[in-house]
Amino acid sequence: MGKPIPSADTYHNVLVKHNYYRDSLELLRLSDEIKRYPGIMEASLVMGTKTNKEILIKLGFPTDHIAKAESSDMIIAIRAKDEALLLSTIPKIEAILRGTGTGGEQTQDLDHSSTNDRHDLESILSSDKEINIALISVPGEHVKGLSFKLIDEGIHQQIFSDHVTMDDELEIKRYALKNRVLILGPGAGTSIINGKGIGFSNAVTTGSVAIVAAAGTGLQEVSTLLDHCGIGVRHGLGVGGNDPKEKIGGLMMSEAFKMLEECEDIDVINIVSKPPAASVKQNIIDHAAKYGKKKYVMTFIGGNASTENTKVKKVRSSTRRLPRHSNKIIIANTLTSSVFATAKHIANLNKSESSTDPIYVKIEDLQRIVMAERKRLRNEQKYLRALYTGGTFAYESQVILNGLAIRPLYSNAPLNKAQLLREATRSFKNSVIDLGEEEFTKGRAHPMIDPTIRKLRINEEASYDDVAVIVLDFVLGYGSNPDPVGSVIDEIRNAKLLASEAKRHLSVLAHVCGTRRDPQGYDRSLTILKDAGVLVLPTNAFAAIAAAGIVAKRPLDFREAYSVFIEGTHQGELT
Amino acid sequence: MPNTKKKLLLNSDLRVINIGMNIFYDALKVQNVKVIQVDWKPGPVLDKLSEEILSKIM
Repeated sequence: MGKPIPSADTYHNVLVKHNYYRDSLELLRLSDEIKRYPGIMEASLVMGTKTNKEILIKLGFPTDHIAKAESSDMIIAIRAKDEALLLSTIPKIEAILRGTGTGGEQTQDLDHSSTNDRHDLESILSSDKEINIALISVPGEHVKGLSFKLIDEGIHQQIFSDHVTMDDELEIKRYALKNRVLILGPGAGTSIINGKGIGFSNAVTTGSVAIVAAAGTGLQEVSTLLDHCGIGVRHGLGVGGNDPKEKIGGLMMSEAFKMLEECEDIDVINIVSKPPAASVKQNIIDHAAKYGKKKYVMTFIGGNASTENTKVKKVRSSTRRLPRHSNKIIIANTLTSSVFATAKHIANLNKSESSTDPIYVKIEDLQRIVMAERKRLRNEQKYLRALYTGGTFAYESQVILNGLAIRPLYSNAPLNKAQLLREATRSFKNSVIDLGEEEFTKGRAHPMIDPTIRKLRINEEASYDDVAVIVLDFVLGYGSNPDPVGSVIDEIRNAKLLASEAKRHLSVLAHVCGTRRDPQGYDRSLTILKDAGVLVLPTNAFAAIAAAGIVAKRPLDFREAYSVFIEGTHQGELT
Repeated sequence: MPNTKKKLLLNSDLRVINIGMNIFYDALKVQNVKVIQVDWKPGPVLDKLSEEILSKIM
């Protein structure tokens, strides 16, 4: 530990613990706890990954100690009002860490969770034969061994861990299929089985819709929007973003699909995927058309509009390659349009009362909001910055912004390689940032849980004279931050204040992905946002269209935008 | 030979083993799902030099 360093009436200290691992969530919770100690101004306990080191430097800690830390080292960075306080805090942290350390005595439960029934894996597997699914969220390099062991026991798995190589993923999935085990993930944060959420999920009504998703927040958006319409979801199986890629070949997407086909209480199967390999997409469509017994709504986000030059008309026409006898299949362009299509199917079945009114914004209302915002901008304010915690929202927005000819457009997770942002940490012109991408999450909790990266980024974007709009998503539900809106609302207010002090108006658009039964409070979240001057839209697609309308060089054709991205679906018989 | 231990999943009661983040254990408990938390810790991590030496030997 170095000597406390005074700087501008505060003292800070940086301690590096070599080869000292703790789970990123444990570290986040401990950091939050230390921040609540009187006189502590900043506390950050993180593993020494590149991203974490950059953030600590942005938070004002000195680079010398931080730079030397390796990703296997833990960094403890504390800022306090006085030296004595700082010196007394470090031993407290050490004591807590010792209490939960490897081989250490458990003296304190770091996260206050009720995990009194902690056991080792071997004893559980030998004693409890009723376990039917494992939820795995350990660092990626440890997943393969664990997964094989569980497959041998016939246990299905949801693997949340990132940083599992595609070679390992393929091996795991092939071995699992041989043993008739379902593998959701890696990188699968969300599932719903029998109405129960596993991982990040929302408190949704149980009903006759099932979702197969290779897009975690896509599953959350579709299930929550259906819930707002009064339509329930029984199963939502997240197979992980890599599954529909050529290398994995949609192995588990097909398996999940087949399992759901056998469920008698399912009427509609909704498929949501980030851009799939063409062969995988075609296999799924062909399989549903040939053998499917249900109604199908399929959304391959970006699968239709993946090039920079794609215009609205091209999006429309490129979705009509369906087999002749596939009138049971609907292809949707966005998550929102897939929900409207699903609602239509359910309404036709007359099984329950449902209405899409709660998630619809009339064209004239959206137009009015957009025109009012445009009038308040200065000439130099030309660009939008979308800062997403949900990767699927980043994709969906790119589809919409590309389709509405918002140029130039860049992203750290681009649909089109030519739109790759040079540095994920630095926006350029119109930028859509997926803060859940691996470059931001190595060694730290996902931004749906830890708001630090987005807080810093909101401040930064608001400081640029040419930024007109900031677009945000807030994902409620189990597993997410206990108050996603409350945790960044000060930064939003400061951003608007900073802009107004510079005689600019900064538009902030948001949508909240959640239901009224989610623990964080859906209506409460909306109220906090609206009170801070944020324009809240019911879905991400509406937010993206509004953002496009605000920064578009010429006034947007809202009817065209709605026809493609809100009501944009195509039935099989169109071929 | 196919695994005979395969468990039913859809349309059967969930019994989950949570290996990793406690937050997911808590989320399942809140929904009254039967869940057991594994006290997982990483195994020994080899440094890069040791890994290189080992890979050459093997």
